[in-house]
Amino acid sequence: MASRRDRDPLRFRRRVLIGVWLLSGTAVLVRAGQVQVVQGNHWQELALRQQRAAQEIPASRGRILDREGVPLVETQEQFEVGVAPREVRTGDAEAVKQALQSALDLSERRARRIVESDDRWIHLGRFPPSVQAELRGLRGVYLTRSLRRDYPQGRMALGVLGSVQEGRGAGGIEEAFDDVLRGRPGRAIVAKDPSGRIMGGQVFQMEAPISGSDLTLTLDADLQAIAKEALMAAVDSTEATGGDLLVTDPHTGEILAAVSVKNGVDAGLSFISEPVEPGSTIKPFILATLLSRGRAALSEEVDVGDGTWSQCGRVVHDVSARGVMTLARAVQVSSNVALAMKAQELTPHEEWEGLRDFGFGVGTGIAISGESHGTLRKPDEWTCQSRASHAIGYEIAATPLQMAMAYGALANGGRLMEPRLVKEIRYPDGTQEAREPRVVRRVIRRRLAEQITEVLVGVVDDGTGTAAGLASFTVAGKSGTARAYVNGDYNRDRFFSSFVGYFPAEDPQLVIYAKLDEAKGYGGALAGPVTRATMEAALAARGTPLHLEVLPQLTRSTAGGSGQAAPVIRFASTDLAATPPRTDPSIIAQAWSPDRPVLEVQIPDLRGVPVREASRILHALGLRVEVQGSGMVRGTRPLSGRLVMTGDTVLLRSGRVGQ
Amino acid sequence: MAAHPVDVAPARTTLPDAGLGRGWEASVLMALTLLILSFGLVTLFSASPFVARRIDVADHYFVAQQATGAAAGLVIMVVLARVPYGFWRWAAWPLVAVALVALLVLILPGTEAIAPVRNGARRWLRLGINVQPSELAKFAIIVWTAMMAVKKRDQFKSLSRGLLPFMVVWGVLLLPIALQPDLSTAFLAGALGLLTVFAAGARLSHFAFMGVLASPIVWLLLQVDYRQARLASYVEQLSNPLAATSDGAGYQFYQAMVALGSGGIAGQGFGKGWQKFGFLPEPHNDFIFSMVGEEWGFLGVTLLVGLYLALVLVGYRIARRAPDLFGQLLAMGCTNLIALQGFLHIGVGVGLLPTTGLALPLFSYGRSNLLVTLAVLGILMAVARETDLDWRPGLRQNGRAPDLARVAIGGRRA
Repeated sequence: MASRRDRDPLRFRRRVLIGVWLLSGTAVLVRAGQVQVVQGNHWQELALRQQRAAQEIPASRGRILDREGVPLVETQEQFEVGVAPREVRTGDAEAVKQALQSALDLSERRARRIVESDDRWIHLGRFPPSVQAELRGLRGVYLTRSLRRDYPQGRMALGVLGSVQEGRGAGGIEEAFDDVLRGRPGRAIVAKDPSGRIMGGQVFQMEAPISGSDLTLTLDADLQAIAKEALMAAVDSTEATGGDLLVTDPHTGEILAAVSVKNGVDAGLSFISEPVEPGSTIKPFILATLLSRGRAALSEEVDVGDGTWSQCGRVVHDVSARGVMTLARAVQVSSNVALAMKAQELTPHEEWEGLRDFGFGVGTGIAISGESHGTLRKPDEWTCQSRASHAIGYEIAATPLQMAMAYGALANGGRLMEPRLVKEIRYPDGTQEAREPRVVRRVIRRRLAEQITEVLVGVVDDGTGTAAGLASFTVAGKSGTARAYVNGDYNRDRFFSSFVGYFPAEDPQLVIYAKLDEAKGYGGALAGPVTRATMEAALAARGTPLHLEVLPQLTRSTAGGSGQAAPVIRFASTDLAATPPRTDPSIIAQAWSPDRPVLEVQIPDLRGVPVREASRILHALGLRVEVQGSGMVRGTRPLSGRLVMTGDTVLLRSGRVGQ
Repeated sequence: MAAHPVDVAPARTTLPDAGLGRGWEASVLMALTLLILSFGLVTLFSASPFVARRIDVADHYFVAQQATGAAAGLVIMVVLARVPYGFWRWAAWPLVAVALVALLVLILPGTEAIAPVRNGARRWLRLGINVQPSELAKFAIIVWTAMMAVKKRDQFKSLSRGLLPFMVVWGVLLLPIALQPDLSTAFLAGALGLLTVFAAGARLSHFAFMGVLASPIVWLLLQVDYRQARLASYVEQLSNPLAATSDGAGYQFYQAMVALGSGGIAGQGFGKGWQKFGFLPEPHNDFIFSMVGEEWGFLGVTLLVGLYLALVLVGYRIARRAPDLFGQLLAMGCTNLIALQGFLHIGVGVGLLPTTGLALPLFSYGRSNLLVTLAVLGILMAVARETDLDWRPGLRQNGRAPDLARVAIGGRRA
């Protein structure tokens, strides 16, 4: 032993040390095994918790299109750009400055100031996605995607469309079809730094968002614009507090245009939410109820005497009707006395049933919320005046939409349709789901509907609604005036004036409802011209959903025969005092006939004409209008006197532009 | 001549074949060195860009710096492999002197221009390049202790004449290191000296006595709040790493555990670790091992620990076969330098040791450390090479190295 110790005296201590190191190594490995293998999952989870964040990627909300596919609402991707000047590396400063300058269109001075600033954060605003290309990946420059609802056609029909608040539809289509439009948000797993902030540019896992579906509405953007223009003009000139204008397709129940104006703003939904007493516009339905139950005949004679009739202490007056006339004529001249008297032939239940079948007092089933059912009390709540009151449109309230749908039933051979706002849903995968028209019920027989239409044609030809007449087509319609019920009493000067018409009477394609709230004057004289202006413009506007090839054959006018005449078109003024001149838009209708697809027209001299008036004139010529500024027209492009094709766009420049 | 191989002088002046000697030890050592060094550079490449960005330098800054250090270090290693290790016996005192002067410059007032305060401590000398004198001190201590241990071997039985002189010199070197302050390095350097003395045969009762002496110092050091907090959290983490939380004193430990643990068995993959982005402190230096754990997993950790253990075993083999006692102690000291640093670093990385800031040799960023480590490996190779020089075959009897204190090569021949 001793000799061995001599030979290698450090052997033992060395072995101890080797042992220590081997043990240390083993201990380290055992510990590493414990942490990495045994507890690995736990630490992995903790790692992910502090390193990763799940981020919701909002789905692009679906578009809302008009019936022709014109986008009314779309979602725009934008990028919020911010700079953290302190994070910009000194070596990169010049590159960052130039990128900001060119991508965001900044001045050199401003870009330099941003880069050289001592601020922690500079927010530069929202920019289109194109800025991404130049700015992505630059240190210190941050891009945040955001989605904004955009209205490429301007803010039209906002009441119908609704809005989006915090990603959710609020009101109108946006709310009613939120599920369809919203889509499904995606998820991204992104990186966090120790302070919990998202580190840009690192996406580990991504579940792409599924865009919302597009909705094709039944609205027609052009028609909507025309309707708004016509209604606004009428509201202005009649000093009305507001009004509604509806254009519907009687066969399908489609709503082509819907404008509700109140206090000069057209964002309302009063066409479904605010029922008013319809006044005389109810009379065709009383007539239909009488005829369908065999209680009266159109040729039956009624004696209205001196134009007054009383019942249960209520005196009913006629404005002009006197003496003996047929029932048909009585409706045409809107005799209150005749209708009130004839209504006594019906039991209260029959009258109630007749009106209810046309949709009064019942929801129409329109897709958007906020609809009022109007008022139609049950017969057991009626007083002894009620039958007569209903016959002349009092004690009953109906929304403009209910009126339009009821008239649609007359125009549609007696079948009441459910109003439609949505034509189809276009899913992101390209498939489509059409929303089919739905018949609510057959209210009256076809023959009866045609007979009533004939009566209503007479209203427009020489009854109370002549102001709504068109030279080229037969229009069926009825005016109505209800005294405004203001502060608990009927006001003698203020009226709800309305007119409902459909045309061409032989094969109705459009129902137009117009109402002016608390306007000065009577229904036919007030709302009629609005209706006519709308009809004329609708004929002129491109893309109007009229079956235009049918129209020329229906025109009574022969003016279009030669096709050579340079059309000189005058327009119905909505001015109260003026007797509206007869217009001749037949030439315009002809423009779309298969033989004559377009027509040359001459641009009139519009200088000094109010912009609104001027656009109506151009619309009637079959031209599209673009407006610059407001006030009086200063000039047009192309210049007046030039020949353009129908369907071309004319730029109206107004006096106030740029000053 | 053949009868007196001790006196075979002529061959000594012209060393045969300048390679790594005839044995395989030096070659294996070289291979291990290159393997670990490459592994380290690759890991640094992944770990450092984020750190580089934070201090506003190019992404590859740390890797480039370390690579130049590695190149210079390898040259030094190859040169030292050819320098007869007896040279270090002669150089021991001068080394201590140089290290002491450098350390004193660090702690003296008025020298801030070349010894600036960084992170609350003065550890670097700015001499064109930054030099860390404490690295030199570690090296000086292993060389000097080996030299002194050979000298004092016979007097180890006496405390005053045996161990005390060692403690005086160590104390002189360690105190300025502790005052930088850099307690970890001071502890490391002291431990290295002790290991050499232990290997040389110092009495265990003396170690116990020293332990008693040191306890008041340890107690004093623990009066500082943050050290107590660290110790408390260490005790807790040691028993149950899962109880770790990311706040307060346990933050670094927690992040190191997250890095290591999330590596799992196979690791996140090279460059895919995420803890380096601000979660791990000093991912290029104090916690570079955690990066290995995260990116290479348990397999990578096993490989790395295996490489270091292999290196230690080869080092001890070289020590065992060293031609003389000085060679043996020097080789053990050199090996211990790498082994102890490696264990302290990795021990922290796996949560076995309280958090300290020690470099992983050949791995962590830091050129002073890298140069010293490579120099030390060069010395190990020199010992290995001289063991197998064929001009001394006769010296080896029965496979043992005789007491060659008298036949050391170099200037110190008796």
